[in-house]
Amino acid sequence: MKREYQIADETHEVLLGKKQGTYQLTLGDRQLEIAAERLSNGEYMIDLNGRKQRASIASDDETTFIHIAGRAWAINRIDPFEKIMGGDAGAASGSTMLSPMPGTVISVHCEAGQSVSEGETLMVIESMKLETSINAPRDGIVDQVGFVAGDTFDQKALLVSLEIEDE
Amino acid sequence: MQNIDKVLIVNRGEIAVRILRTLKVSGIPNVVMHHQVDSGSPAVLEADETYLIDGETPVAAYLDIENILSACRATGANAVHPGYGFLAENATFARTLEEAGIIFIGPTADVIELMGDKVSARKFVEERGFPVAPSAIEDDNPATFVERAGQIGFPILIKPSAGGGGKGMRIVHEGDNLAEEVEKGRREGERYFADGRLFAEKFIENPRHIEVQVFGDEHGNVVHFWERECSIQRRFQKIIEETPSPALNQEQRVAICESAVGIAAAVNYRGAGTVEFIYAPNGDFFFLEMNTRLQVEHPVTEMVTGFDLVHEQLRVADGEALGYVQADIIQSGHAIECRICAEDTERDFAPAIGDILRLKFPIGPGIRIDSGVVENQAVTTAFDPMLAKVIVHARDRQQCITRTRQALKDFILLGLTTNTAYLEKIMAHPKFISGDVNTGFLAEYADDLKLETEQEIIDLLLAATALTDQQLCNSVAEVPELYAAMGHWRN
Repeated sequence: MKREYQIADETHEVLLGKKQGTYQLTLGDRQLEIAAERLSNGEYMIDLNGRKQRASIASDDETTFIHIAGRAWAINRIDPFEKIMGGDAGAASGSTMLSPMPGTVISVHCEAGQSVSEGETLMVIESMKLETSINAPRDGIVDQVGFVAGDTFDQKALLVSLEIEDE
Repeated sequence: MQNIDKVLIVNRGEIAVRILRTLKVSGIPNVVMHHQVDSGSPAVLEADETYLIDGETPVAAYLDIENILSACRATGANAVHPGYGFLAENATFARTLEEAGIIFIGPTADVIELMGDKVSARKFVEERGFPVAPSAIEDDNPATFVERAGQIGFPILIKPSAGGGGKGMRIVHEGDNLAEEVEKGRREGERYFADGRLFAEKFIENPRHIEVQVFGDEHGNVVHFWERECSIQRRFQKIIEETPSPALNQEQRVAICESAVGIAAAVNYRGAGTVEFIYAPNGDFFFLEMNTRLQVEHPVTEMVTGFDLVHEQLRVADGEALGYVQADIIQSGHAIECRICAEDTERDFAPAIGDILRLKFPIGPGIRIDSGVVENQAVTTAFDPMLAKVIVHARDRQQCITRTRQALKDFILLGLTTNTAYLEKIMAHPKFISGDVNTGFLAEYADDLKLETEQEIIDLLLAATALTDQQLCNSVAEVPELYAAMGHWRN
């Protein structure tokens, strides 16, 4: 059975199988023999090709959080069904500016339908106590403006989207 | 205590727990005031009494002076500990309590007013002969402010007069964009402090941030508890603090600490305060500001001096004399504090949110954890991203770094992204180990501090994820052994 797991933005395709009672993990052209021994609530020994390492593991609906070798990682489990249904619906010739982190809109300097040129300030936001200008990455026409001044937004919220004119 | 009957803690998170612990061991009845969102937080869970408050936002609830007066009336608390942040340095708040006959555990309202305004504070300090950096103050003549700021000599730092904690501060390297940066700084000042007045000062290149813990009583005694170095900062906010500072020899240490005591004595300071200095590579130091409250990083001072600073605050607020002299306060060994924050250091320190699914603290000699969170608590962006502090004490700096690195590695928090791996990486950096740091350290060595994941770890992570992915394991043809073996463990 195949799955896609994402670690720090990089997607890894894994194939889990079983041979004579032992789990086999296929990563590209490599095959790993793996096993997990559950110690107590949330703690495991993870056996990779015979080498056992202690790990703390907790999962929610989408993410597996693992503390191993002195550090924690978040592994996003990409839902195989959602992937087939939709996927990334980003417009082919568009440019969408998403908020890098939660914050507040200070001012808006564009409106839908307006032509803007590269470098023009479209919006000023404030996150983490700092003001940042959202500038047009290329020439284009404003498609959507996600917020008005004073609004607050979450991470990855659509701030402004542009229709990029054909070159 | 002679005068304090019961203390209301008007803060949250780790500092509320910190204050509560001292109240308990001092046998003083306590109340923790809290907003609904903090109901499951450790301070609320550990307090003798709690008092629920409300507001337009959770933060607003903690900033509402009326809420605090109501809490005092309802619970019979006759003293208030403000912690840090929120109303801790609000002179109106301190005055309102004084007028209501409630003991404010901190300095007088007049001192907060004088030292809280950066402009009046530096004027006061300069007039009494203590060193301050070259500057331009907008209030002196607003019409010529930009021109005067430009004459200080670039680079310069623009700050809101009413500011603190790095909010609204901007470094300007050249005159071309000075006017624009001044406008941005003014807007930030207006938004955060409802006060757009600015001042500009010479930006010292490669400065260190060194501060001194001071303490005064109502009887005219003022002492210091030595220095702390807090040069490791992101966005002007400290994330690692230590004492003693590796930058100072004993002569410089005494000089900077005595300056701080002189400044505190000049304002007849009462309670715990911190005098912050900018320390230049050539050994010059300049007064930066005074914080008229307990600092986030006070535990490192407690570790090396053996004093419980919250207990000292309570004694002084109760009217007692310090009862000890400077020579009684001795630094022993080395202490480091790391601030554990809910943030993604790989994404420009963006705040991280989520439920804490698992939380396990490191244990070992010299390790102290001041935490404001417990397992199953939700972390939101409603408050500051700091969750906990790892404080480590050892005989010397090298051993302290070794212990702190291991403590960070053993700090298990699952469910959201934190900065623990980044903090550990900083402490492993040769420049940090040699003590060669300044406030630009994190920016200068950003590339060295990027987190990478070796292939072997990726393999382990994928293996662990696959083996705990029940849906996947169930779908594999043979009956999975792990699943069968795990049977009796499942709830």
